[in-house]
Amino acid sequence: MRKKNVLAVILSAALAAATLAGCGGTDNKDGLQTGNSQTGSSQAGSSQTDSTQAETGSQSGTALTYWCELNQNVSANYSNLGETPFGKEWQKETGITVEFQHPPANQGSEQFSLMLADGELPDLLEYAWMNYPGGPEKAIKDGNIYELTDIINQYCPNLRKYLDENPDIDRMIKTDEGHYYCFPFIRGDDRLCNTIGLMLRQDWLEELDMEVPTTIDEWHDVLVAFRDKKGATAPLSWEYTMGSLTSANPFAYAYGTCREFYLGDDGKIHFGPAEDGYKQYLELFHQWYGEKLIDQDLASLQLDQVSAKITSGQAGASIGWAGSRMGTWVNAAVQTNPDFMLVCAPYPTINKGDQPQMGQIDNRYPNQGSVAITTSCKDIEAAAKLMDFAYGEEGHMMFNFGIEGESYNMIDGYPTYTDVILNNPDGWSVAQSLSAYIRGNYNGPFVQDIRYLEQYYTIDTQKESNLIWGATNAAKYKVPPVTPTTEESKEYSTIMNEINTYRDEMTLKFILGDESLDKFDEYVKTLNELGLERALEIQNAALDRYNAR
Amino acid sequence: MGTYRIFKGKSVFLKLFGSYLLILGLTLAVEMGISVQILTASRKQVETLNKSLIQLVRNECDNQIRTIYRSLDVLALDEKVQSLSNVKGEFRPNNQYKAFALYEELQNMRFSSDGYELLYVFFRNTDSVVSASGNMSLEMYHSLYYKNLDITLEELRDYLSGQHYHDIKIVSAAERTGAIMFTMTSLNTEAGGTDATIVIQITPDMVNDRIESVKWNEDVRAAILNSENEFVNSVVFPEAGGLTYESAPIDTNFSICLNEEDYIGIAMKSTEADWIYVLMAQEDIIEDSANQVKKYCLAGLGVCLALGFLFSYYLTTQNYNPIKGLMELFRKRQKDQEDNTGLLRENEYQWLENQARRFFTEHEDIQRNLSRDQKRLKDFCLYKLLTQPYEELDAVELEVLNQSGVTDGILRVVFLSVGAVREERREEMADAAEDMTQELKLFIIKNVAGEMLNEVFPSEMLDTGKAVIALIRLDAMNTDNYDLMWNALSRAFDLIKEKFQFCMQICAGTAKEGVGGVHLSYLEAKETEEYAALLDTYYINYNDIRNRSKRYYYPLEADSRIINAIIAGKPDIVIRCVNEILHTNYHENHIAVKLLTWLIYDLLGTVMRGADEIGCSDFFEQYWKDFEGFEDLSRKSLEKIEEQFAELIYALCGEAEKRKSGGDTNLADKIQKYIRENYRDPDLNISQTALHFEKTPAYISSVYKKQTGKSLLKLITQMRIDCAVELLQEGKSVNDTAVLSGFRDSRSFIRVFKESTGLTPGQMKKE
Repeated sequence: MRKKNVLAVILSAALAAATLAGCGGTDNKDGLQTGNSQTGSSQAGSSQTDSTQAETGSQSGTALTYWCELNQNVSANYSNLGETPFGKEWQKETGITVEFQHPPANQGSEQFSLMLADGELPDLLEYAWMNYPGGPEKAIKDGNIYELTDIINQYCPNLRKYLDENPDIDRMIKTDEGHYYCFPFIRGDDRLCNTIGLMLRQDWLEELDMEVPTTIDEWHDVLVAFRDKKGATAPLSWEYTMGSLTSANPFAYAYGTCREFYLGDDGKIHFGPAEDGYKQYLELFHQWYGEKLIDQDLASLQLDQVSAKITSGQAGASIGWAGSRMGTWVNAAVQTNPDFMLVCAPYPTINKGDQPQMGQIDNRYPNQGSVAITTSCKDIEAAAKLMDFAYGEEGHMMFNFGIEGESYNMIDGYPTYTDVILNNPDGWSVAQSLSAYIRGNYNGPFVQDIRYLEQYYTIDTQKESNLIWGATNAAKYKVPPVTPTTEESKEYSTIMNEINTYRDEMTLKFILGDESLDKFDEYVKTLNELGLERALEIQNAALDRYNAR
Repeated sequence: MGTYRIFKGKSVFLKLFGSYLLILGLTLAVEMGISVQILTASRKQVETLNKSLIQLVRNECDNQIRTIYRSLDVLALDEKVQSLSNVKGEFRPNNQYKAFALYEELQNMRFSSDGYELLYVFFRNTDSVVSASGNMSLEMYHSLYYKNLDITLEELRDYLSGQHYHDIKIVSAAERTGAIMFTMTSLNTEAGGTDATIVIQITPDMVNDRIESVKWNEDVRAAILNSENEFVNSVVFPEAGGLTYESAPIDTNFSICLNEEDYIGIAMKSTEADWIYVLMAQEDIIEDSANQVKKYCLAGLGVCLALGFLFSYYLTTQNYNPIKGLMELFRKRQKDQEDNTGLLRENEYQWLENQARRFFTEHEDIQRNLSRDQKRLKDFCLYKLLTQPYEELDAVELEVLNQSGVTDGILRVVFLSVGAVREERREEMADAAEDMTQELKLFIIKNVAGEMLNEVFPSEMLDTGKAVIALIRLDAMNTDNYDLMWNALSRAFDLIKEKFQFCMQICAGTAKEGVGGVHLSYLEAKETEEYAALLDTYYINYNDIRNRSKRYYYPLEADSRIINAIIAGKPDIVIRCVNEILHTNYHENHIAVKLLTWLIYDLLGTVMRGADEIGCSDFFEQYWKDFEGFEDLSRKSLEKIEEQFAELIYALCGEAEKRKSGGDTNLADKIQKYIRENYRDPDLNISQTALHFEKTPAYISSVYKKQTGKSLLKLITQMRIDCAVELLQEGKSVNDTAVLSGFRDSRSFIRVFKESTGLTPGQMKKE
């Protein structure tokens, strides 16, 4: 009996072992294969960490998804807006969990198009909504976003109040049909709208005993002096390839024209590059280019090159922003040249003493960083509340100054940034540390506060820039944020694509002398042939509708 | 017993331990097999992976190089590049637009070819650069984009000024990863000369990314080595281990030791550049992965082993539970005594022990019984052999006898019994012997005689209760043997007589050859015994009495003559006949005492039959009471016997005479009267009646029948039935009637009533 049992034990164990050996064999194979596929998938995964991390970041039941491009000052230190003190504070204050999603850098519009095509929309979508193909009204009609009138009236007392108090802005953020479609980015002060202007080497001017030039002629003298006396190979140099800077050319404005549409004295929209003033501007630049007062490599100028030229003294004057250009250059150049200083020059006039008329100015609603609620959103109330927060007192302070006691302190009733922002212990630039705590330094669904800019500008001349550059009637000539009708939209954009391409090509050719200015009339004729009349017609109709809002 | 158990336990444990070791050994063997298999498989897998990986890397990188070469070719033939290369000194305004157009083209190219870090054309004649990042002087370009690379402006200019075709230059860097420059001088066509050099620069990171994206393990290193043994990508092997562009074996797996660690490597030549791609995987990886798998296998084996043990343990407890099994066995056997279940549950071991003890006690008893039974069986067979002819014994009985030593030989049967006490010796015997029972005496005889006989011959002793039969096997049939036997027997006789004060009667049959003769010898001995009383000796040999007659003489005609004489009432004739028979047998035939007794009883029987004939059967009942003379008749002399018979016959005949004269005729009337007075008593019956008249029931009933011709029982019953009929007719209930008319109960009343009248009392009552 017992003997039999022992035998049974051995047999069963041996059997088990044998079975196991079989298993082991297959295990081995699988193990290596899965190991391989795992590394493979992890490799693949790492390329999309941004999006996956954002998705897995917070997954509470009531989380709202919020899609926006991640500002490069944020992405320098954070991979997700939700990780920043700003993102955390926003959720904490509103009690709403937000899951931020970001497209890869510089792929915002592609990803936006993909999302629309895909239909998989986040709850909240931050975008330049006027750029939606066919306009924001189309976005509503396409069923992608909600019409917000009722939602704002019902859930957004702060925004409602602000719009009631600012009817001009209320008009800007509606469609012609009177529909609200977004929680807008609004510049809270006119001074926040003129940020681009002329700047030149103050130390050189002082050295040469020259005044800050105010007229075209004075500019000519200064540039010649820079070229001859300071050895500047490219006295005037700016990022010609940067559209927003090239469009805001103060010398063109001096001739009462510009590279874009503008609002004429007659109350109609005009296309600057087709007007006589533009020819005069081109003549001036062609002349200056020939005199090598303008950077010979103008056409292909990019930031690196311009920065190098300004800071190294190859260039003495430039067009740019007071913050990201002037401030940066001064700070960089003083490292090697302590005397280096830039000064803002007013928009030049033809006749000395004249009041500059046109100038660079943004609309208070600059068509960026505005948020729409998509039709995918299930909890509209939460979304609306999250958005409305920024337009209230607390939200305004948070979006512009961050967290009190941490990023700012109230000193004599003035929200003053702390050293965390201005002298960041981690060595971050002011722009980067600001971006961690606020959205005031770029954009987003809130009202921008001028007090941010007052502190962001650290150099005296920067702080003067608003006054100097703002001393124009620019607002008068600024085309408000009009939108073509959904039907006209495509036609308009087709025409303007061609016109703009032709304009840019010809402008450069005229300046460089590749094309004689005798052909300017021919050029205007071509513009008309390309459909300029029709474009103006559409624009003016849009303006009429806008005025009728 | 204790030590035995321990020893037994040890061996079982050893066996168990051995089986465990065997299982362990099996497991280890399997495990070893697995690990070897895994190692080989892993190595093979690694080699395959390495090979496919290096192929992937090569394809990826070669593709990249091809793409770059294509871009270079396109630009080398570009009209703008060629025309701008002809410009000397510096670009004039009219060249600038072309330069801008080229810039745009380069920018587009860079956008479309993701991964080009730098894309530019160097124009030697103007010392300027047209690049995707803008047009500028080489000096500025160098300061902007080469500031972190280990190449000076002059070196760069010198290099770019040279003639290149699909050239690849590795530029190292101090802090960051270096750069790989692909250069090509523009081609000489009608439009211009060869004074422009096109550069596409990528970072080694790009190559690394491609390698990383196909890597199957973090510890795998892939490097690209160019013909100058520079590492193209940023991965640098620790101590290249003498691995050079020339020496590396191509397309085969090789082992190499780097930094004291073993690697498996494979190299492959680029099809596009003078590069070789080398892939190294640490041997440790293989072992690691193998170990990983091995670990799981081992764990799995362990689990299976444990499960196996558990399972077998489960099976063992299920199927092999000796205590439980034993208990069930006992319980099944003792279903009837299952009352103390509760008690045994409490301590089953004790219970079991008790059961086992009881079982073994019973077993011993049984064995004892069995041996006794065997002895009995032997005795039985022996008895059968003695008393029955040999032919009637069956095979089994013979086998039994054979086993107990009763086999062929010279066999002789001797009857040993308690001898009668002879008159002349009575005084010699002590009173003690008188007290001994026959049984004890036979026991003594059996043992004493048996012992004595067995000293000389093997003998079987059989106690029949009346005598001890000795079956003696002699060596041979001669007088010496007989003397030996007789000596032994006489010694036994003397011993018994001396010690136990009684005599042993010895009756011997003759010796016969073979088992078949035993019965004959027995019969002889038995016959001899009959003469024991007759012959006044304790030693009787068959030969001594052989010639004596076995039968008494009592012819049938004598019998009928005696009966007829009794019926005729002639006692003289009867006595004469009896005397004649006795005489003949006693004097002429010399019959044995026993035979004489039988003869006497035979004669008595004849007389009694005669008495029956004359209706005097109750005479003897009366007669034996007064007459005791026949008790020891056979031991008395013939004269005395004859006297007795004569007295008996005269008494009988006298009685018969008396009966005939009707002495007891009124007995029937007396009986009837008695019954009439007493029939209501349910106890009244024939016995009661006989008791009343101080006669036997048989006498009473026979006298009544003889005188009235009716049965006495019927008289009693009839008396009761008549009374009952009367009572029923008076209207008495059946129950009352039964009691009043002397029946014991109504049931017997109804039964008897129906038997005698054919009606039930109820029916009678209705009538």
